[in-house]
Formats: sequence, structure tokens, C-alpha cells
Amino acid sequence: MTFDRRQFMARTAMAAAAAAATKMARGDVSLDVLDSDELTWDKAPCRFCGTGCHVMVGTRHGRVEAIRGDLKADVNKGLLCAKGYHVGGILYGPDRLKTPMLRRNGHLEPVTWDEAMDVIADRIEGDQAGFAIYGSGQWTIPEGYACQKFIKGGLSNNNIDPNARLCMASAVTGFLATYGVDEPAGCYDDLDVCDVLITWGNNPAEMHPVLFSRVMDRRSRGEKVELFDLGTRRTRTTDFADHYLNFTPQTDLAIANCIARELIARNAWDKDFVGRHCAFRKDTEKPSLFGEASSFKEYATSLDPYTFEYVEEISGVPAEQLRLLADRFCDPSKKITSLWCMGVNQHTRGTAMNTLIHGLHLLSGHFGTPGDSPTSLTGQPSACGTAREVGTLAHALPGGRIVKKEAHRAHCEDFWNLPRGRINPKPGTHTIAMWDNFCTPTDEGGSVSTVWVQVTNPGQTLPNLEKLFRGKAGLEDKFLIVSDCYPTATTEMADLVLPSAMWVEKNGIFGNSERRTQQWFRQVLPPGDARDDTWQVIAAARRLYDRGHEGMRDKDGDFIFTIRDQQGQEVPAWEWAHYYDTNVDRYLFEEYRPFARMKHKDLAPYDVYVASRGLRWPVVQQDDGSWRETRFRFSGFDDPYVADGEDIDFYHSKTGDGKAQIWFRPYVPPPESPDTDYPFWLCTGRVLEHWHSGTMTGRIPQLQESMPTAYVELHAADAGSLGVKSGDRVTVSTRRGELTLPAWVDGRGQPPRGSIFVPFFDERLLVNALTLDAHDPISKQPDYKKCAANVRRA
Amino acid sequence: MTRLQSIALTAAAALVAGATLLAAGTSDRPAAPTPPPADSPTRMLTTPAAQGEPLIRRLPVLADQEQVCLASLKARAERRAYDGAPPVIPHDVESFTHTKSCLDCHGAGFKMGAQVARAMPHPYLAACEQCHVTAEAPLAFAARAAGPSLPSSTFEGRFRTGPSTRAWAEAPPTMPHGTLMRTNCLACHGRLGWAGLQTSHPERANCIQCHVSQSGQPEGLSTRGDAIGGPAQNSRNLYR
Repeated sequence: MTFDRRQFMARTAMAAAAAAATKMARGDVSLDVLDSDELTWDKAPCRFCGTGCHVMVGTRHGRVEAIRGDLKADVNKGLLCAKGYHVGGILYGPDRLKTPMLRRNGHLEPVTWDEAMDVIADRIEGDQAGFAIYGSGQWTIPEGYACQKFIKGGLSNNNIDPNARLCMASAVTGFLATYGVDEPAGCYDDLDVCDVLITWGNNPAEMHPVLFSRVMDRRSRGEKVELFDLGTRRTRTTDFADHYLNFTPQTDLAIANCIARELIARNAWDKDFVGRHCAFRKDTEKPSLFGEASSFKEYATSLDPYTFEYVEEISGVPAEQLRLLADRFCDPSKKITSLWCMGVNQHTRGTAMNTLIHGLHLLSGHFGTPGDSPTSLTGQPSACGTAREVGTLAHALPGGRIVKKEAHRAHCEDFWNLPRGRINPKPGTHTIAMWDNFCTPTDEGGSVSTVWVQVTNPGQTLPNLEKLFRGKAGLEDKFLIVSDCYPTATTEMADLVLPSAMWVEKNGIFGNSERRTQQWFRQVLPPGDARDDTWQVIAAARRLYDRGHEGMRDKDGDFIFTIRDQQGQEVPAWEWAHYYDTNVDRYLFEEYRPFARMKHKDLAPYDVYVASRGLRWPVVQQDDGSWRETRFRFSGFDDPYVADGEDIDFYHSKTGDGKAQIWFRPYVPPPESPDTDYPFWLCTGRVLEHWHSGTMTGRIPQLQESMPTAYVELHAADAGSLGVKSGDRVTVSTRRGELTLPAWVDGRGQPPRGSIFVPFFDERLLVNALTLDAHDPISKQPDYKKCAANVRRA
Repeated sequence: MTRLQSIALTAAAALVAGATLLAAGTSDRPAAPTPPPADSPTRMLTTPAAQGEPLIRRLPVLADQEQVCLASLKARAERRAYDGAPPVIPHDVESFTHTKSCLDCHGAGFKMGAQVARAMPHPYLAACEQCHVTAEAPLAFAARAAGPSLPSSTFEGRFRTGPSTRAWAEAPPTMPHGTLMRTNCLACHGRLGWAGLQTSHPERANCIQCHVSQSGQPEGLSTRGDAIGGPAQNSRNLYR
């Protein structure tokens, strides 16, 4: 880094003093002409969603002062969204956490990092099996990798799971069940050429705005793009739709089956494609990831009940609209791209619904050429890169490996130079189990005694908060460690709070929704004593090593996080003063790269990413030494792992014959539906202005003032019968809790009669005290999108 | 005099037709004048933009012109987090049924009485609310939010956009800002543009024929990685 730390500190102090005078949206602004120092620009991926836009960050005197869309980035081509343009503001909340704090006599009191590391080491030595890490799809790849190695290679208990479990788990199981390997075949380039876009329970106009406008802006260039929006409420995406199919929650399963049935009934399914590249699959009695083999005949028979009439009856979607959607799938000349995200994933039948969408594209042959693609969107910036590829899940190991397989454990032990048997074959606790267990008294079987949370806010985002988070209160032997940047609903309950560096205050690598790995450098310093999450893990590991902990030694007795500089000299990276003596991210990434080869998710060397705006794996070295990314996976014309002459090869097929699986999955009613006591459907979600729990965006005045409070969207007729108008306070209750908040009638989103919607960004109005912890049996992902609720005037 | 005023004056100086600017280093350059006191409204007009930079003297401009320009730049800055950030929407939008409604007024620009809806400075993009959020919550109940909001970021945006320069008295002034998302110059500088920033010759359509970007700042900014160069490449174009 070139800037002077003292200068930086002075600047920070000055800024703090001037805070009151520099409110951005209104009031005085500072138009700086006296100081002619130019901004220094460097690249970074945006900190927010899974789109993975690249921003240019303008810094001066150690502060971020401007942001631009990166014109050189394929993802966003110079454009951002409201959150992205204001991402620089996330660093400068006046209440940034700046010093470690330990709870003593009920109060958080400052402690040194040295003391904090002793506390962590004491907890681990006290109960190693009960120590867990709860991480994030917002972890950088090196952060997740370090935690993964720490838990699975060091503590041997596999108790690590990310918030991506709440977000992407069903997408992962959908990919695995269909293709035998995770992550999309297509990429964002499909959006530039598709004729038909289908959004399945998805509102990209607000949640992935840059991708959505990438498609919609094609219309202004005279291109025709037909949008089918399938949803349970009207959204901003619906505003752009040619056809809006409003369905009763959970009946998306039936709709997909209805379209598949029609493809067969019209004899319009792609027999050649299916014959060569697909096999059929069905559930066993107990749902499982791979089920059992089926046949076309059995598949067709199973679909038989899903007639237009039946599906119209249960879904509420007119047969005419279903027929129209079927028409498109039956037309091989149309290029169809499907997009989905939380509506399909946060679903107690999420795995099933994911496989059904893949199945429709396979059955109809709308697969494998540009524009014909089932594209699952991720919610978080590195849910793919970190949670899925590094495998920071309770059952997984890096590079698509799983702890249950002896060979996979052996690979990892070899890569990490660990003795045989170091990695535990028993999966750890997945998210819901981890928190349930943590909130259960030890003498009642609650064996998770310590959770270390990084880069996420479970105190706001777990479902059924009373049970899964607040249950910790009063359990004296349970201990919560939280690494974060701001005070949150989670730090409120924490016993040890560790201040973290964020975004461009540290080096980082993300992996976005389209398999793109993206690198950035630290550009400003974190405030106070805030430090990188990766450093925190390495320092804790080192403290254990120094105390003689065997797990922190490899089979030669060396520290498992031995970091070397580019000359091969060991760097004491566990000492903060030396952490940036070398690029630890680069070192860890190079250590991690070989893991990715087994599933053909090849990564380029770190330095290649430095010189690019991200590359989509597999990134394979060419004869001339250059590195080539892959846009269309499994497609012979682009994927280097498909043999010459083949058009499609699912080379990780579960059946070992290069075939993908088309599943039959029945419609199953949801675990909770409206009834007399709770007559409304409750759906939760995000809004454009805020990122997840609002910890960052809630501190950006432009975004906060535009969307200052959570609300409940009501249909006008329901509002009328309740005697409620916009702005009136209403109480929403479920079997798990209740919440009083303002009503919004005919607001931004318009739920149909009998449905309500509440966003989850507002930490003062925690809707997750009301949501359900019922989850998908395969992915273990809970359903935030539907449960039964009551509404009354407050 | 505030820094805000300074830039306004500087910009005004650059924009006012006929303002005389003398290039640095010429033999007929007058001796540097004594700097006026710090609170003088003409301070910036006679002070080099920065120490060590070539001296470009600017003559005082009319006081009312300064005030008009100042007010415009201030109003413009108040709607943004930094120069280049998308401005917030200073009016309610929830009563409009579709983002296409934005175009009704902001497509070509629109004026009714004192109310001006400026044209978009960038090419047509369909999802206006992707980037532009309302300055105030659309919700009637916003004031009744439950408890205090989170404390606001102390982010300080960079607003330096000038000054522009001229090679000689009659030369066209350089553009004191970049052109990313600002390709329709008349949005700000046309008849419905900002007071004090309007061009004297809106009939001339091709602005960048005469007005060049001063800073030489490429819009596709480079990074440390770009400087290194490297073997990375995107895959060849393989569309059918």
C-alpha cells in the first residue's frame, strides 16, 4: 500500500469530526476544488448481491470517495444499481466496530486481540467437538478456505456451515441431482440472446437489477424479448412482463409438471436430445439426493394427473396462460432462459423445484446453446465461489468433495499434508441443526457449545428466531463469538465481538453466479483495530498451535497455516503487523487451486485474475500459455472438457454415462397453509435499496431515506375488510410470533388477495420471528416464502 | 467563502462566454497578482488550481452569474453522493404505474412554470429505478418508523469537477468532467439545463467536436492489474 497510515488516521479523525456537516442527500455538501489531488482508481467486485458487478473504486487520502461502473467488465458493462453506486458508503458508518469486546457481567467491554485469541483458544480446548463456525456466502474465497481448513483439517469436527444454506442449498442439490455436479452450465451471455425469459418466483428487477436491465434494455434496441413472470405477488419485474402468471404458493411444482406433461402430450419434447443426453429419475420413498432410476414411460405416466384443468384448479393460473407457457417450451425455434433465486430455493420442496426447471429445459431441448439455459441466480456475492466451491458446508470438502468419502478425505489430507484420519468422516451440523443445537441446553443434548459467526447476521436472518437464536439467552455455558463490522442483532447476543475489515479494506476474491472468479486488492485501511477475517482465523489457529494443539500441526509438525512470501520465506502472518508483508490471499488461493481440478472447475493462477475482470471456470491454459475461460459448460463448442465432435457431454453424470437426469417430482402441499386462525399467506424477501439485514445499506442515507422502514404489503380488498389504509399499524402474527408494523396498500409490490409480504431488512422489525423453520428434506434449506399468518389492526 | 462557492465561481468563470484566460508560460503573461483575502469572492479566480500546476488566470465574472451558477451546482450536488453518482429522485414516484412513466417527462425534458424535468444525460435505459431512488420514502408512514434509524455513513463524496481551461481567450473550454453516463450534454447544458451552466449555442449538436475532455481521464479506468498486463483473455466469440 502506498498511502501513509498516519495521514490516513488524521483523515479519519477529521472526517469523524466533520460528520455532522457532510450529510450527503441534503444539507451542506463539500465541493472540493482547493485540493486538487486526483482520485486513485482500482477495481473491485460490488460487495452486495450474487450478480458480481465490477465497480471502480475511487480513493483519495485513504478514503473511498467515488464509485463507477466498470466499463471493462463483461458482467455489468459500466452500469450498476442504486446499491452498487453507493457501496463506498458502507465503510463509513460512525458506529463501526473498532476494538474486540468481551462480555463481562452482562456488558461488552474492550479487550485486546491477544486476550480475544486466548478466549477463543480456551473455548476450543474446553470443548473442541462443540465448537462451530457459522459463515457466509459473503466470505471471500480465502476467508472461507481458511475456516474450512481450520475446522475440518484442524479441529476435525466438521461443524462449519454458511448462511448460504438459507439461500443456495436447494440450488446446489438441484444441480447435483440433475448433472452430478454443482453450478450453472450457462452464463449471463444467455441474457443477451434469449427470446423468452422466464422468472420463476423471482424479482430480478429489484434483486439482480443489473442482470434484469441487461435483458430489458435489449427491447430499447429494437429486440423482442418476451417475459413470463411466474410469481405469488406482482413486483417491479411484473411491470416489464408480457405475461404474469400468479400462482398459489407451492404450486410451482404442479405448473412445471403441467408443462412437461404438455411437451409429451404434444409429442414436442426433444427426443433426439433426451435420447442421447438424458435419463429419467424419481424419488425413493424417503426423498434423497439421487433417488432411483426411472424410465420415460414411468415419467410420462407420473405426469399424467397434471392436466391444465387440475393445475389451474390448484395453482389458480388460468389454463390459457399455462398453455401459452407450454407453447414456448414446445417451440424449438425460441431461445428460452429461465431465472430463479429465492422463490424456488427457499422452499420446503426446493430441491424438487430446482430439478423440475432443469428437467423442463432438458426435456424440451432448450439447453446448451447460447440463450437456451436454466440459470439459477445466487443471492450472495460469493455463495458460489466460497460456500459451494470451497465447500464450507457441514458435509463438504473443497472442490466438490464430501467428508463421507474416504478417497475425498484422503485427497484433502494429502493436499494439506495432514496425517491419515485427521478429517472426520461424520458430517457436522447444518445451519438449522447447528443453531437448534446451540440454543438447546447442554444437558438436553445441545452439544454445540460455541459458535463463531463471520460475515453474516443470523440474529436477524435465521428463521423462527425465538427458537433458533434467542433460545441462547440464559444458557450460561453457551458462547457466541461474532466477527462483524457493525453492531447487529447478532452482536447483541454475542459474548465476544471481533471487529472486522470489510470489502476494499482487505484483499479479497469472490465467485459470482456465472462461475466467475473475481479478485481485488485492499485499497483503504480498516478503522481502529478492525482486522481481516482471514487473519482472525489464522491468529486463533496459531494461538492453539502455540499451546500445543495437535490439530494445528501437519504431519511434519508444521503450523497448518504456514504462509510463505513469493521468495519462499515464511511470514508470521498470525501477527497483524506482518499480515500484509505478503499477499496471504494469493498464497491461500494458490494452495486452494488444485482442489478445483477434480470436478473440472479449473482456476487460473491468482495473478491472472489480478489482470482481468474475473474469469468463468473452467479456466484452462492454452498451448500459447494464455488462460481461456468457459462460458457454456458441457457444450462441445465451448467447454474444453467435452470431447471433440460431441455436442453435449454431462461429464460428471451421476450415472457415469454422460447423461443428465430428468426428474419426476410430485406436487406436495406446503407444511403450513392458511386456515381459519391464520388466513393469510406470509411471504418475506428483499427490496432494491437494502442488502439482506440492512447492516450496511441502512447506514447509507440515500438508500435508508428512500426505504426507511419495513412494512406489510396488503391487497386493497383485504385492507378494506380490515378497515386499514396505508400507514395504519397492523399486527401480523403466526404460530411463532407477532410483529406490529405499518401497512402499505397498493405499494411497490402487490400481493393478491389473501397474501401479505414483509421485507426482512429492518432490524427493528424482525419478521423472522414469524417465519417457519420447516426445511427441504434434502438441502435442509428453510422456507421463508410461505407460512400462515393473521393480520389485524394494531 | 466556502469551498462550494469556490467551485461555482471556477466553473462560472470557465463557462461565461468571453472570459479571458491566459495560458501559462506565455511571454506576455502579467505578473501574478497579490492573492485576495481568503474570504474574497474572487479568490479562486486568481489563484492557481493547485500549487505547481501551470498558472491559468481567470478574470472575475459578474456577481449575479456567480450566484446563479453556485445555486445550480449546489442543487445538483445535494442530490448525489459524489460526482458521478446517480441523483436521487426529488419527487414521489409511487403514483406512477410503470417506470416508462419516467420517460414522459425525462425523455426529452419538460418544463412547466418553474418546474423543470431535465432530460436523461445518458442513453435510454429501461429500468430507471434500478439506479435512481427517491430522496424521500414513498411511504406515507415513513415518519412512523419504529425507533431511530441506523446512524448515517460519514462517506464524503468527491465533487471536484473543474475548473475547465482554455488554451487562449477564444478557445472552446475543455470539459471539466468525464462523459461516462453523460453523453447527452444538453441535458445539463441545454435550454432546460441548469441555470448558469447553459450553453450559448444549443443549436450546435456535436459538442465534443470542439470541447475535449480536459483531464484525459479515460472512462474505462485502468487498474493495477491492467498495468501488469497478463495472459488472461476472454474466450473467443463462439455464438452460433
